[in-house]
Amino acid sequence: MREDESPELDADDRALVAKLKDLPSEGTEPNWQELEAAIRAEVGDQAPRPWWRNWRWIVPVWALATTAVIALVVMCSNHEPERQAVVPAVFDAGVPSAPEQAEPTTTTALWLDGEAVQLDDVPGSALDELDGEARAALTPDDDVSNGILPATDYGWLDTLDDEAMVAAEDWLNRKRT
Amino acid sequence: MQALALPALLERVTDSVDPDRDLAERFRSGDRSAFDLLVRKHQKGVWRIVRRYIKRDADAKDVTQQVFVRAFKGLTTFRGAATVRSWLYRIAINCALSWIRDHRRELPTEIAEDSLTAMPIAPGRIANDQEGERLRAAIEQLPPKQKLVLELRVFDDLSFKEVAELADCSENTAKVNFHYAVKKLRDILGGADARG
Repeated sequence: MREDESPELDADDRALVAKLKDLPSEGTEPNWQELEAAIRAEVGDQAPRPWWRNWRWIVPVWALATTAVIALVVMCSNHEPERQAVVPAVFDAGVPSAPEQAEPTTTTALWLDGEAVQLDDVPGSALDELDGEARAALTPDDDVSNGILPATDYGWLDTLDDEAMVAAEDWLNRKRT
Repeated sequence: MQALALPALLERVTDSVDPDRDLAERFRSGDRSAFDLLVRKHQKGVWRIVRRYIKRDADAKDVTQQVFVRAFKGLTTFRGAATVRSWLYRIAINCALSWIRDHRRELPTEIAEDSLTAMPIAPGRIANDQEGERLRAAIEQLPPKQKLVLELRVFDDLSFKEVAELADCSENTAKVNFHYAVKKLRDILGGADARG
């Protein structure tokens, strides 16, 4: 008896089953080679590929795209300007307003002899000395030395009349020659 | 007894469960010839099942061909939950039922045509054929589930596990159905004998 055979059958049942098994199959069997050839002709020579094999490329592409998107999001979030916290305007007469912030200190730079000099960094004595020299250079020399009129003020030229102008030009010509 | 290595033991167990698994694997990995071997091995069994549903040889042959075409397309996605044989037989039953549904109106005419073209029976076979016809007629009177289980078990020599897979029931239910089918068949045949 086969391992999975139904054990409840008695001898008559088994005889009937044996009789059924001996029955010839219905109909006339086809030509098996012919049927086999027909099946082969219909299905072709290539074994079909499962649908997911045609989509195998999608896994690496999807992973790559996801990585790219994540990288893009991370990069964009780093460059995003910090949002200003919106402080609601609350006016309370009882609370004194905050003292105004002092204006930022400005530094003055000077380009001197090919290098930038921060005036704040220069000691005061050196500035005084420089200031003195500059003043001396800019101070008009009011003295008439060697008969030459002071070069700082030519307003007197306007006071000369025609004769005096001619005389002055003659004098200058003579002086040149 | 010589001890078997685990892979060899597993392979033997797998083969005992489904001897066609290797062929199915070969086909899935692109070996087209494995399918030809499956066809050669199972075409007779598939045809027998189809022929029980479709009473004309030419149509049964066409449907058998259709079964293997469908199997060819589906074998790549076959996961091995059932044996390859019972999977093929399931396709065969579905294709046959589908064919009957599609040709319901034509069936009476075709059967009549078939009877006209049938080969004449030799006189010596008449007694056997009469007994055969009597048995077949008795089987036709069984409830559909019992009939299916009995035919798959007796004519196709399937295990109760495979019968259960094809009949969509548990193995125990298949055994019970088979048991009742045989008892009922005896009743029908006994009643016929008593009447005769």
